[in-house]
Amino acid sequence: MEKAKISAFQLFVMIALFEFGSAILIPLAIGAKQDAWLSIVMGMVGGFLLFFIYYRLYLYYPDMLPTGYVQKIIGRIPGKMLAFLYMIYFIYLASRDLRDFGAMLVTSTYPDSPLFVVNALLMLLVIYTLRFGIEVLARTGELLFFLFLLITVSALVLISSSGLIDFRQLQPVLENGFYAVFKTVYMETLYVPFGEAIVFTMIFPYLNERKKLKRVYISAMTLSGLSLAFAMIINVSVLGVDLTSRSQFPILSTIQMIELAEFLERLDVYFLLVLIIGIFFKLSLYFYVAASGIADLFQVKEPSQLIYPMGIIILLSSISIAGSYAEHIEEGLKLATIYVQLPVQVVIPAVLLIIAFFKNKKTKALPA
Amino acid sequence: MKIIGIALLISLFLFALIFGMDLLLKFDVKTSIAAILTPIQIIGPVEIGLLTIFIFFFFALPLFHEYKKKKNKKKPAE
Repeated sequence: MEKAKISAFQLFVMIALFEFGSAILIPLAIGAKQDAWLSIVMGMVGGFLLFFIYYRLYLYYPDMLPTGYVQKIIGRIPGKMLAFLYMIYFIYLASRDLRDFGAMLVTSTYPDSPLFVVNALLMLLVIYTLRFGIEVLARTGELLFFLFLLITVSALVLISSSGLIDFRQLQPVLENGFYAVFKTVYMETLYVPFGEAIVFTMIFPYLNERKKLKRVYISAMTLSGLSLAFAMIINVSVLGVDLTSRSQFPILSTIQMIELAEFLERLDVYFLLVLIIGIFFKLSLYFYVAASGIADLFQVKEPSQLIYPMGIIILLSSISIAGSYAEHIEEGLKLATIYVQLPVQVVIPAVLLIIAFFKNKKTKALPA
Repeated sequence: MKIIGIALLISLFLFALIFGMDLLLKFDVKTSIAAILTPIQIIGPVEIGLLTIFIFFFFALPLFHEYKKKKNKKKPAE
């Protein structure tokens, strides 16, 4: 484990930027049609419940990384194997985010540039950042967060003042019943993006003010969850349900529609900055966590040595992960959620918590 | 060497996961393998050059670190 400490505010910023990450880019929860925002809010509430599982596990082993306490809970060899699979999962998600980034830039701004080169540029930047560790990443987050807020708020002001918003597009509420909303939560929003915050279980031990963890996590999740829901409200009320579901990047389509005073238009390039910041951060966190976990498991003395080879693996897999962007999204929002995210984010942590509960109960009983 | 071994092990598991996801997408085994390889096979000459450089450093950097470590170990003895 790296000898580093991060402040409560830095953790707040990291969680907020991570949750925005690629989730703001994709047509999140559009299966629930005009009730997508409701699915996002409910997914956020589900995310709080998942947090309490992760938090209880952290309280049992506050000074250990999950790669370490998993071995204590289920035994050394099975624990190492499970921890390794978790690291593969984080690398897989890093590859998915890198593909999101490349596809977004190639589709919206650089149609003639090869995906591989675009992805390689971001990956080289991430490799450079991560060689300096979590503290540098956290400080980078602090700097970028204010730029992120500034651009987001200005984009919101521009959309509102250009008269594009039509709240009638959000009606009727619950047209297909509550089940359709719940199904989208269960199939999608619980895991992407809220359950993905399981990555922070690897960051919790670095926090210097442990008492603030619960408050920081819940406030950051609330901020990002409500903002994502609000972004979806804006998307649907500007584009309508049909166009939002057909658009690859609804937020960019919404921004593209801004026309103010007959000269302020094509602002999607301006808003791309927000998306690049979000994806850079999400990708960096997955990558950092995977590298530090692998270093812990294989007892690599200098984890920075792992960064470059792992970066190249993520780069190659981001290209191989899917033949097209449509396939990539289908795989990410329909298959990976049920077959990968559900067991990794919900089932396994819940089982680990139950075992940890009984183990610690026994240990507490022993000294008496 | 340890770093290269770990990197290759990660690649093996990661591409197995991607292959598994392709199978779940209802591709058959042959198509799933092709789906993983095709995006890399169809890249242009500039990208191939870039990829070659990346792969060269993939092996060269860990070997260089290893060499440096061995050299540092020998120094105090001299």
